[in-house]
Amino acid sequence: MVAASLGNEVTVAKIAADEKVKRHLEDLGILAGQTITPMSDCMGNTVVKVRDSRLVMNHGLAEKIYVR
Amino acid sequence: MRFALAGNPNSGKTTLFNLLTGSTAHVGNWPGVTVDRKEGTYRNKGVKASDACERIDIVDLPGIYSLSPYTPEEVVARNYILDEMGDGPDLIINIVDATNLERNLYLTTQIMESDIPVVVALNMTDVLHRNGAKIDERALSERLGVPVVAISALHAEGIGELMNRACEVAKKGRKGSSVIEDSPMAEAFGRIVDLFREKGLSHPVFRAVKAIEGDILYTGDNADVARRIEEIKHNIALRPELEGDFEAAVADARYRYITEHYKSAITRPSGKSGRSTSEKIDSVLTNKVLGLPIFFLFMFLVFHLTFAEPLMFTDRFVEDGIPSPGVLLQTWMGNFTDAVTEATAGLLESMGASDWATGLIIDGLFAGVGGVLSFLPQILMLFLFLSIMEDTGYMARAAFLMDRPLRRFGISGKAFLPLLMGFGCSVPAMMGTRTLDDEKERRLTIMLMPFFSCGAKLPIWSMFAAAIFPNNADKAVFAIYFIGIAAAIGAAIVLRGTILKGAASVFIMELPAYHWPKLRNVAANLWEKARGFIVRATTIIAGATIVIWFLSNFDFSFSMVDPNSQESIVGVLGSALVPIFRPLGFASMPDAWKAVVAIVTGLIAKEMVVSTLGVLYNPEVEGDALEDDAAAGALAAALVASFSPAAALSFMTFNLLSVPCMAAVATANAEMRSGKWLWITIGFWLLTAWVGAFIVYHATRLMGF
Repeated sequence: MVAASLGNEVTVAKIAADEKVKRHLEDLGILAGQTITPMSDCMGNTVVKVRDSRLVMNHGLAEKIYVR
Repeated sequence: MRFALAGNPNSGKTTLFNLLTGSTAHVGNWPGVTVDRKEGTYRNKGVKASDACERIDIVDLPGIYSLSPYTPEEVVARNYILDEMGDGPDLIINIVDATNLERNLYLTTQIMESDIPVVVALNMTDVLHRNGAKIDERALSERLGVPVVAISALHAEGIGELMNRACEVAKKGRKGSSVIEDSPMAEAFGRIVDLFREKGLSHPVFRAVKAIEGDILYTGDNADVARRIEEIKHNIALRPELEGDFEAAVADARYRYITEHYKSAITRPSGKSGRSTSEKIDSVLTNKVLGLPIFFLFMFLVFHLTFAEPLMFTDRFVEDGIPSPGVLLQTWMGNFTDAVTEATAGLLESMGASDWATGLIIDGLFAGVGGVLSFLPQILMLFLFLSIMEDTGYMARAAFLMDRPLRRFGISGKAFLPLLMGFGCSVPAMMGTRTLDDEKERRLTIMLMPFFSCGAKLPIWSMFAAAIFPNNADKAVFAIYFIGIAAAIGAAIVLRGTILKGAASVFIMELPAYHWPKLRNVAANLWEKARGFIVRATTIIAGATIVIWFLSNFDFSFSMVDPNSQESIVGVLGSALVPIFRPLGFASMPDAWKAVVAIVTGLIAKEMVVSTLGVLYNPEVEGDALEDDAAAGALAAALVASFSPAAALSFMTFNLLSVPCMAAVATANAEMRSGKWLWITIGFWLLTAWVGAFIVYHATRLMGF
């Protein structure tokens, strides 16, 4: 997702994080098939819009979320 | 009647709880975990006293995104809802943020699976309307099958209606329902539900969903049931992209259902909506260039307003300047405790109390507890600012701004705020680590806490800076803060490489919408902190001061000696410990045992270091070196004779890095919930203090001091 251009809607293809993190992401609305919008990049973090909420995650995690 | 309040973080749940319970709220702990359990009572004035709904106990469940068993908060909420503790709720009020409906309903779909009556409190509908959107509560209610009441927790609107509907529904009972019944897994799901019904288990629908997810808890110890569930699940064909992940399949089914059935309940204004106010604020506060400087400016203001002796620039206009509100309040608090102490001393004298009783009560108990209480105003000031930051939503931004700088030391941005609080007081700071999900990271943060010089250590720095480094007092104090931060960085790297192996946990956080702080929430938070602090000061610290007083006034044959003399128990113990401290410089001076005794009493509470030194080094001078100028001058002269600059810095460093106080030890014990880790932590603190002081002593000597 780090490579995705900012401000455009993308679809989550696969999440390559460990079990616990994957569940937490699901609870926050990030799961395969879901559309999300990377909004901005700041201090090694990516701000993502998911449905009506905004989430911030570090690049290390954002790299594990594959989008198309 | 007992109602539970459940909802996402940032959904306004705390505001609703404070509104419903007011002054009746109290905080406890859920059994076995360090998760706050908040409870209070709601009085319904509209109904007769004989009505079961006249008096309703409200239990505030922790803010959660899901009822899966991945965090202690989720486990607590789930166990409570399923009545595992025998005091389950009659109804769940599910607070839902209307401005973030779909994500909030994810939790609702899970709550609906229990057999407990539910009412949905649709919060922030006013904000939604302001944005030009409309929400159809009736349609939502029909589709969910439970009442939906629009409220505004912030403006206290719709609360009466909410509670009346809740009461009606609570008396009726409900059967659980699940979105899985509407998914491709429906057939298999139905068979598992039947299986649980046959066994007569409570909440069969909820248990069946968990069974599909593979949650072992709900297959119980019945091997037969477990086998049959596996058989049924074996026949479920998941879509290939789910890779056989049943939990993902259930989550997917929930979101699909929500999008399909509930999305249409909201009518949004047509046309592309612009950026929200929060997004505009964030473009400044989390700006790539401006974000960090603005954050540091806020932090500087917070500490300046809490601790500054004269506020910046004010000494140019008024002689001595205007003290900061924190210092002003502290002075008043000090005057108050002094007045109480004096009055009590007078009373004891008029009663003809014996010397030892007066000594115990005045020099032991009152001096110790009074000293600690005098920090209360500054600690509360610090918390006032922190809870404003929390309530406005800025805290989440601060955490993410600090994530990258801290990450290379194995700490995530979420740990930054507790560490920052450590400059105020380690005790609430350690409690603040509860926001960290990762156990190792939590332990690490607690272990680093003392290195952030707390308010109680400030008098030690002031005293030594004035006595030993009169021309460089501010630099000496700055050096101590710097040594502390350097020690924290070094310790974090060492701990992450040894006993707490691993990297900082992944960082993901919701950015809540900004809003003005709510007085009710901030006040409730402060009151909670103040009460906790006072309770500790009057129990743990009072107990410890009495013990110390006893040890410093009696010898091993339990006969009274001169206070704090070498013959007293602490004097003997201090002398015995001198060899351990000899390599650190300050224990090779004459009367070294005195410094060692001060170190030891400092383990109880750092306030005691200065008072111990005062008593030991100039027993002839009457008065408290902290308040009496003449006493302070005499003490300074005595200190110069006994401490070289290098020895003084070494002594300060040891106090900075060692066990902060007994209250902090008690808190670390409660937060770590492991005797083994408590001892590791105490040992780690003492070892770091010794090594740190050793390095500082020899480094300053090499530099020619």
